[in-house]
Amino acid sequence: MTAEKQILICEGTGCKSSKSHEIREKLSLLIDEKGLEDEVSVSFTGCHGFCAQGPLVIVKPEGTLYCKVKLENAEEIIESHIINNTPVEELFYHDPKTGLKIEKYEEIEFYEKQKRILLANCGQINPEVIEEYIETGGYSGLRKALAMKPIEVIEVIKESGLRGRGGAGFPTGLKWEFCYKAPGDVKYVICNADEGDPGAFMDRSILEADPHSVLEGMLIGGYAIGASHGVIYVRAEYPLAIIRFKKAVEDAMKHGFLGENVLDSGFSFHLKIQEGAGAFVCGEETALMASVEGKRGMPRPRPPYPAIEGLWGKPTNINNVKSWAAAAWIFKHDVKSFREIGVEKSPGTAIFSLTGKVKNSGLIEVPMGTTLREIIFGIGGGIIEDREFKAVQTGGPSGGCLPESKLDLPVDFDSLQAAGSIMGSGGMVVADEDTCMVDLAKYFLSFTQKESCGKCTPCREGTLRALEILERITSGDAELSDIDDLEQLSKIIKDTSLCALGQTAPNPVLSTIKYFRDEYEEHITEKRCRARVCADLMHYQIDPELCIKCGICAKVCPVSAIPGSKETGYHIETRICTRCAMCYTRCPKDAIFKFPGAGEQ
Amino acid sequence: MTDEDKITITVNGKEIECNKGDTYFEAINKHHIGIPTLCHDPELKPSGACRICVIEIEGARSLMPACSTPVNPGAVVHTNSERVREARQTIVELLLTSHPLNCIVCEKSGACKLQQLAYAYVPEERLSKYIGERPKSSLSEKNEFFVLNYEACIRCGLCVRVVDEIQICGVLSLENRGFDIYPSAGFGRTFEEAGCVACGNCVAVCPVGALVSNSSKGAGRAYDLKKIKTTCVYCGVGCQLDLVYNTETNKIAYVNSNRENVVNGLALCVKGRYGWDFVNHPDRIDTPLIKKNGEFVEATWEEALDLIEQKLKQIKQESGPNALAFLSSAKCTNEENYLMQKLSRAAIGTNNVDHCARLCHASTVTGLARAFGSGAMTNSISDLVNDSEVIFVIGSNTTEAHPVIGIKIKQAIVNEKSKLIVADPRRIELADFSEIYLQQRPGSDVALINAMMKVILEEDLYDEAFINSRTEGFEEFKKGLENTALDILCKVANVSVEDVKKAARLYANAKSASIVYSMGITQHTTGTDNVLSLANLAMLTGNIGRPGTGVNPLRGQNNVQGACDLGALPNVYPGYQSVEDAKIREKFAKSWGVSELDDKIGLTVVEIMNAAHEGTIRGIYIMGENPALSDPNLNHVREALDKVEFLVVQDLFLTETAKYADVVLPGVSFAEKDGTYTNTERRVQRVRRALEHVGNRRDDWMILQEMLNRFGISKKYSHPSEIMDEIASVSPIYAGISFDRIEKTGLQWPCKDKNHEGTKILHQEQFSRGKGKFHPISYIDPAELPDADYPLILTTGRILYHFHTGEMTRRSKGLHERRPVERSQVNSKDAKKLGIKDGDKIIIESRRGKVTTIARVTDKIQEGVVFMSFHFKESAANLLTIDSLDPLAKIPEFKVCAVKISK
Repeated sequence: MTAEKQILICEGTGCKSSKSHEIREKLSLLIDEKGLEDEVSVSFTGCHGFCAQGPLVIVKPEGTLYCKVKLENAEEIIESHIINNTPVEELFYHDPKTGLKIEKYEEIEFYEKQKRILLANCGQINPEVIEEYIETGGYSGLRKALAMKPIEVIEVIKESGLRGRGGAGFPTGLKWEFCYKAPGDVKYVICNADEGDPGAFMDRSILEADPHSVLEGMLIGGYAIGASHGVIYVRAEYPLAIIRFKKAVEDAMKHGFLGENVLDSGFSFHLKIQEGAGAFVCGEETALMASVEGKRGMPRPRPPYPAIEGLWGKPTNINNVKSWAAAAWIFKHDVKSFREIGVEKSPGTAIFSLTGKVKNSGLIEVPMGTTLREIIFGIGGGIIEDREFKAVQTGGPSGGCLPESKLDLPVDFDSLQAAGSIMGSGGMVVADEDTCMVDLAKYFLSFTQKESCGKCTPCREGTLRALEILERITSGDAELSDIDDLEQLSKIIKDTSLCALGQTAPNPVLSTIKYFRDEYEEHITEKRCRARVCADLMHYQIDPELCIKCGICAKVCPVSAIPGSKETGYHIETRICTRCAMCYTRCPKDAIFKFPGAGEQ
Repeated sequence: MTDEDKITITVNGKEIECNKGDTYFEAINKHHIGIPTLCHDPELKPSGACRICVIEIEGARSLMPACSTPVNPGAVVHTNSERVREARQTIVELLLTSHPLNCIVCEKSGACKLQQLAYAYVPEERLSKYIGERPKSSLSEKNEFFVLNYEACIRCGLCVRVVDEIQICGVLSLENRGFDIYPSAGFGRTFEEAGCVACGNCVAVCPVGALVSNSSKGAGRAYDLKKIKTTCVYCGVGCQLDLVYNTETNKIAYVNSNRENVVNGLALCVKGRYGWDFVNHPDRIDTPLIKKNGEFVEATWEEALDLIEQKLKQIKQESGPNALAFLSSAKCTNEENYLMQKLSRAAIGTNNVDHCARLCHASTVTGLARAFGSGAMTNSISDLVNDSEVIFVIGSNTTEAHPVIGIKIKQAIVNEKSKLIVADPRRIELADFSEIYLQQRPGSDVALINAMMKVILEEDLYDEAFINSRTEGFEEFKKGLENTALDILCKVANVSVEDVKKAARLYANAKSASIVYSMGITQHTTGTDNVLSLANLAMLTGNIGRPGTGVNPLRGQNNVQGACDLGALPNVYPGYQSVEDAKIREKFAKSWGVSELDDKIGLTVVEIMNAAHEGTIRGIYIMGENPALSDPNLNHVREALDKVEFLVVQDLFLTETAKYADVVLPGVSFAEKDGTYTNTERRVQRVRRALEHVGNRRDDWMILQEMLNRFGISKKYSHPSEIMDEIASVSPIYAGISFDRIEKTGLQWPCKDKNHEGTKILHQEQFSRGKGKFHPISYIDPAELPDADYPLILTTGRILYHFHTGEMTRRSKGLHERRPVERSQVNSKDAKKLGIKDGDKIIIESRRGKVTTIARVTDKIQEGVVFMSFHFKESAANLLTIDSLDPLAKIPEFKVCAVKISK
């Protein structure tokens, strides 16, 4: 790279939706206008993971990070930073803990405490330029692998201790070995990029920001297993990931990494990109394969496992995006470096999308074994407005909720499972005192209930009945025995469902009952939602001290539940109020408050 | 199964041995340890959907479905633990929550699996434990045969899987997802619009009252009904079914396949499942009728039989026995056919006995007898569809005429066991499943087959070793083929040389290839030539005498094979023993207790009608046949029937033929009789009586016995089984068959003695005639080709919903409602030229007659060809057909004649 400075604009889905590409075009134009094109290059990258702060612009080599950049800031960045060497302080990251402005992204706590290996290239290279990937050592892992015998490649993965990043944590090397040993001439490898958990976007980010790492992993896997065909199954809702991956495939073909006789090794590998059709259940491997075959995406019983009878009835190895990328990383580096990260039984890193009531939300990568506390209070910067931490939900709709007592739990496959949650796809939602645990369970269950494919009885029928019980609890129509019924039903759904969707759907319910049973009971016996979330079990009141009698609340109330006048003041008729929160959000003085309990009826 | 394939598991504390690869359900079920199921069927791939079969396997993370989990050596499982029972209870409770609890009025009550499970697992107080949303019920599917009551559907998916895996018609899939899932034809279509052929196999597997046959509504509760296993009365497949009937009302309630069978499994077709209303139809004749002054009057059996006896004796005395003729029936049992030919030969003394096989497979009998020595399907249905690498279907609209074999061929294709070649003038359903489809011109089969054989010879694809060791006449045959060039043969057949080459290679290169054919081959003036050509093709490639090979004629009627086997033919006694052979004659004379038997070959069906027309035949006795609708050139036949001096018709209905009769005798239907039928694969199977006789009807065998007795053949049988014992004693191919032996599963002839297991594949070591014989065959034009006056070719055949002359199917409510009138296929280009639109009333005319029908404009038929079925007396195709005969088989050319169409 001849240019002295690089301006990198994030064009991941998040920043791009905030029109970051227009900012890039403007910056380019300005550089051209000023005749700086030889000294400064303008390029784009994939996601940095710090989406809440987007659109993001990085200026290298100094590593200045600009947050929440707007189109009109472009001129200033060029004038002040590029021409006059004075970084624009206004656009620096604002640390919510200290209130300080921080210029360099490595110094931001959010990045400082991460260990980015799979996300290392994310935000740092242009995903559409294969040379940039190659410059970071890309495809050197493939060369190493091709110089080995397939079984030796599998041995390396086995030694690395890599476990499936799709959530279940099955040893990847073992899985490859099963497929390698399965009889058959035709075999397939599949990359599962049907990331469907609400709020999870780590696979998307990798595909958008570093597609070649996934491709390289699949090539290594295909070579090891003896598959000459691969399929990547990507959600159709990820159009940018699909475009970037297509580009990566084209470029890899041109460079001889993909296609017939890869790098003159005699090994051939062809890859098909298959768009999903919008069903969450297609993230389940047998449903995914059915979908690839053009059938209805419905799971089938295992055994036979895909390693024996997979796509088109042939031995097939399916891994998640992150697993493939990790395999490429291991070959690019070595087993020892990988095992140095993380813990003995779960080496390497874990990627989470940290969201909820936390100060810094975004995509993070940490060594396995990092504690929940380090993640939430370190990287996440603690709870918004320093409110009380209540729980953390990991693993998305298949996962569970853990209370404060589990904050020092090291995050890895086994300890999370032992505590009643799972690693899952990597969702991490932080709840505070304003989060109702029954409502949270209801939210996740309503997701899985809607996404149930409908094939097996417990998932199809059971999740709806469980959801109906939760609805009764949150509306104050339940009896105490409903909790036992809910628990029993949940256990049986887990124990009898056909696929992982049903087997894990009750986890949010069971874990919240386990750790927050008192909240459930309170809903039933006291008809009270302490987090003031469940509409039927909370009410609003106007604080007469703060009220300025402006009458806005009365005006916006759609059911005329706020009688009064500018002279006498206003009060809320709880009996009529529908808890729509119009008054609460519109009050100019924040004089309306939520209270637990249904209020006087 | 060797010891290595055996493993041991522990079930509920007891060790049991099972086969490797079994599922837990299969392994445990054998030991009578109950595991409930809802979505399981042994013929379908396990789906694991309902989860009621979950069992506890020690070490497994969760409960596992027994239906789909393969056994693991040493596994310790519990089928009835607390955990299992709780899970099952919850699953049943969940299903009940979404299911209407209206058992008291539900049709399925008593036979409903959900009801049984609720009884077994759910305590009464839990019955309404869960309350909540119910599935939407605004949907409906109601057709002529069954209803789908969506409210009752438990969404087990069995119906969809049957459609996918057994019927392969793609009609049903699951629509929506999650709780809103339901079986659907999609896009808001009715089942019929989606291509449903109303086989009702989905109804048969429905575990609850969601899919219910119209007929069973109100026909009786499970405890009012009895069932009996019998054989279907329609085509030659010989499906085994359960007649479920109400003893109080003496009526059939519904029909299901009987699962203890080797022929059809769970499958039946629309006729087998829904085509039995005729049994209880008010049109049935209840009492003998004698025609007096042109009107039928009711008579006693004595009066009717006296009159027959007197007239037959009189004619015999005046004009000799050969002035009488007997038409036996491919619809009647083996025992009845045997007695009918015995009546003709032993009692009257004439070989003038024939039946409608003359009109369908006479050329098969003649052709295959000449080539191989035995005129029957060489292989079996099961090996045809399990072991054939390539199946060559020619002149058989299998999915309509033999639907259950049709679906088995589709299964073989879809499961990638076989590849298919289809040759048919019409683009039949199987063409869609074929690797190569050849649309030959009607009547050009010899040219097509010769063309294929030329390719095989030219490309050295023939089986020299087989030809040398097993056959004779090859050189002469080969020389015969040298006369015509390949491109000329292809031109005659109107098919591309390239396609013929592909077909020839595919067929010849297969390790095992079977030929399946039916009346598209046989019903020609060159019918025997066509059959001989197929025999040549099979021998040329060594595709005979092994599993998955052979020349396999599909017989048209339920017992056309049996009627032939039992000697209802003018040239042979039972077991294809020649009437011209003195030793054989002596054997039969001795057995039947007569001094001598006629040594001349008798007349065939069409010859009998011609002789009646001329007056040399004075009396005809017809049992269960309807030549006034089924024979070619009907005007001529009807004149003959009118002219004949004395006509007896023994039937269920006052058929078109019976209207010409002097005496009509009321016989009984398949549901009211005992006996046997022999199916197309030579399998002799039981027919069992379910219903009591109504009115004055009599068993057909008893009527025939009475006639035999009146003519001095005094033997009396107490049951049809005794007739079979007599058959076994005189017919070597049936020697080992008795009712006892075929109680569970039928036996395939030849069955040489009481220990012989029957014969699945003919001509294995050697051909029945010793060596297989090649015949040089040259192409000959059909008898009548289109010309300026009659520019189109008419070809005739069956449609799915009707059978033969429609006497049974048109009296079956659903079938009649589904297809009440003939719709004749006209090619869209011809239609355009003639100004005909789909649904127009048209007149089709030949040199012999004209009929009015309704046009079905389609591209499934080639240009210049018209197709009519022969089921509808209002549009009787046989008024048009030609009575030119194959010189050897005497089969008429139903498949080609010249016609014109006008509006």
